[in-house]
Amino acid sequence: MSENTDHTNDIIKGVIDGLITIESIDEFKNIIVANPDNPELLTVYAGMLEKKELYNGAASVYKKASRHFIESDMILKAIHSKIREWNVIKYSERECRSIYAALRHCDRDDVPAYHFFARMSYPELVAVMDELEPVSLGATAVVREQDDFEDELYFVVLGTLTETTYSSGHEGGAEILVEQVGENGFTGDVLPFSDDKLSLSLIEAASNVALLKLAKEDLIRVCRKYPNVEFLTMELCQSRLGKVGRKALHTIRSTTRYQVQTKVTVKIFPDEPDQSPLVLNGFTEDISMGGCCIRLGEAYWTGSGTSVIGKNVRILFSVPKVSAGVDVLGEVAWKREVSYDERTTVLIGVQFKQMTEEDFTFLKKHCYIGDGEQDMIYSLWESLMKK
Amino acid sequence: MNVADVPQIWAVGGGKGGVGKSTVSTLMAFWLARMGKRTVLVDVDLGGANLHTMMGIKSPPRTLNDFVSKRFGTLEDICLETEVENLMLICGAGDVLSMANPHVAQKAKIIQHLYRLNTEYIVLDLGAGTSFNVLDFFLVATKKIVVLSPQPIAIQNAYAFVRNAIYRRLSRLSSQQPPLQALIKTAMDINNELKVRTVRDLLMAIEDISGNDMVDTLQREIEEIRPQLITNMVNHPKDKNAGRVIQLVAEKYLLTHPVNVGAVVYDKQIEAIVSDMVPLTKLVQSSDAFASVYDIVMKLM
Repeated sequence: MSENTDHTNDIIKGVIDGLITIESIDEFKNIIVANPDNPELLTVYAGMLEKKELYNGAASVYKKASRHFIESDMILKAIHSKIREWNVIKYSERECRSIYAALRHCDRDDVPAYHFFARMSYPELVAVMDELEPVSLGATAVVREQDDFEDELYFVVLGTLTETTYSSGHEGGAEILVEQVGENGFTGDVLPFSDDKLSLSLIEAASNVALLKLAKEDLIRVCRKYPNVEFLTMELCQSRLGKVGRKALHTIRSTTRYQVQTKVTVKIFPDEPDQSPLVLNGFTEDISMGGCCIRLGEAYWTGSGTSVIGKNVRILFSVPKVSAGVDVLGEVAWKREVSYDERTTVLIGVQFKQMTEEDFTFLKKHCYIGDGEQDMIYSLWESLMKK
Repeated sequence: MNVADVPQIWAVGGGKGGVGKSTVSTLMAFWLARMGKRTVLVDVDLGGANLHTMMGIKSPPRTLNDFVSKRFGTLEDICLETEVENLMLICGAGDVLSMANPHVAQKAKIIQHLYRLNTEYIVLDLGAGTSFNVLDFFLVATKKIVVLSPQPIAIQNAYAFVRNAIYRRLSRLSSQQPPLQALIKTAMDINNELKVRTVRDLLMAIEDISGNDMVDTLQREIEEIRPQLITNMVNHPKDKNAGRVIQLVAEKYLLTHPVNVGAVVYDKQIEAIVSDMVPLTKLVQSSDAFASVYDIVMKLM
């Protein structure tokens, strides 16, 4: 009995992995009857029906597979099945409310791809799903060559991709870094949209893979209609940096601060939702990509009796030529009282948490030269230009 | 094509938006035309084109989009006459999405056709920022002009523009040598883990990989970039030093020697003229800004 079960499981696994191909509908039905709730098997079956141009049957099986994936919290696979369903039947209105609901209840914030879809509104999700294209590739197929344009994001639904990056080593030789991107991972570096980025890595399929492709130009079109998607894309791409990214952010914080005073309005949110936020004015002492230091105005003394450390804040930078200003969310990391001209003022350090890509670009523009260069410019400005 | 027939390209960039690149480009093109030089002013601010409004044109009948989309075969076909004798205009307005991020082939096509224009001078008004598209147009120019205003942020941006242009040139030169190109791309990130912080550091690292000859070649290329700095909206004698600041920092960190070609005085009339959609070329010629640009053009010619 046990041997039979193992054998059946091997067959099912082989079918799902594409190693075993079943051509007969009846034969496939027999396997499905024995395993009615296996969504991966259902997806393969639906694919076979689609190939045989039995579109209604295929759509119905994709739909069923999508539902089972949702029940198992395998949302990317559910999205994949739903899109394949949409591809075989042209509905007048595409509907994915069950996926939307599942994403709302899915507690997988640790998976960036899930986070990306889960934070969308329903119209945003439909718009993005509308642009996703299922791609199936065999092992060793090349997804993107090194130096190809970074024109797509790929979400890995099934299988594994390898990313091979060649770079110069410390001793002048070449270093090769190989990384794997597994199920629910993604690859692609499409931001900023205005750049023609070239891929630094060769990306290949390490096994048979099912991917969801999101073309950059389609994404740009969606983002123009739904700016929140652009912000989520930014978060998604940042998440991919992983540890390296966090390290880079840390480095940026410590090395590329610049000292140009900018007027800011700081809105400090209270812990209790029924209390009003405290609104203060101040000037930045310095700004980096990761945070800023703000000298608060005198209103702080009359407006605050409690500590602001750990509080969420929204900072509006008044920037000439940027009519709407630059608006960034953050958290107060530290507070310090300093004496200045016989008066005591308060400095707060804010660590940025969320910003739009536009604001990110603005800050990046102003924080991307080295420490030495920055210091020299500022010191020359003081000596040669300050009136 | 005879070398003597190839037009001189002056590209006007600067990194930051609002420093007056379009104003300076327009006034320079005006003066070149007034000096009897056949001149074409081109709006290469792909995605944010506005030069036509400075020339008093509300909706341009033909733009760069029409050339890229092959509605017209040459850039001459999309040149618009202006009220100034010898001065033609190529507008960059139109479908923002498709042109803001042209593919390499489209960019190359525009550049190739610029050289084929039957004119003596081409003034390119570049967009803000330091994207590769902006830098590539900047780097093909005979005169690489960087406009800045006398504020610290604008100085930083103009400096960063020069820095990125240098790294972009180096990166393109090394395209046939992947390890070298990878090193240069790594160095473009100021926080790179190789701790290559300056062009000098970079050349030392390159010497280890590719030897002295490559370093000499790259150094010559860097020297040839020679950005021409123009400080715009100068209100105070000290403001003129903005270019000097960039010169000093660039010489130390980038091993390049920018030329401080001059300053354009702040002129309230310009704001009024631009707001009223009156062609900038109607600026009264007693304007100090007008006179400053004349001096600059004379130096650049």
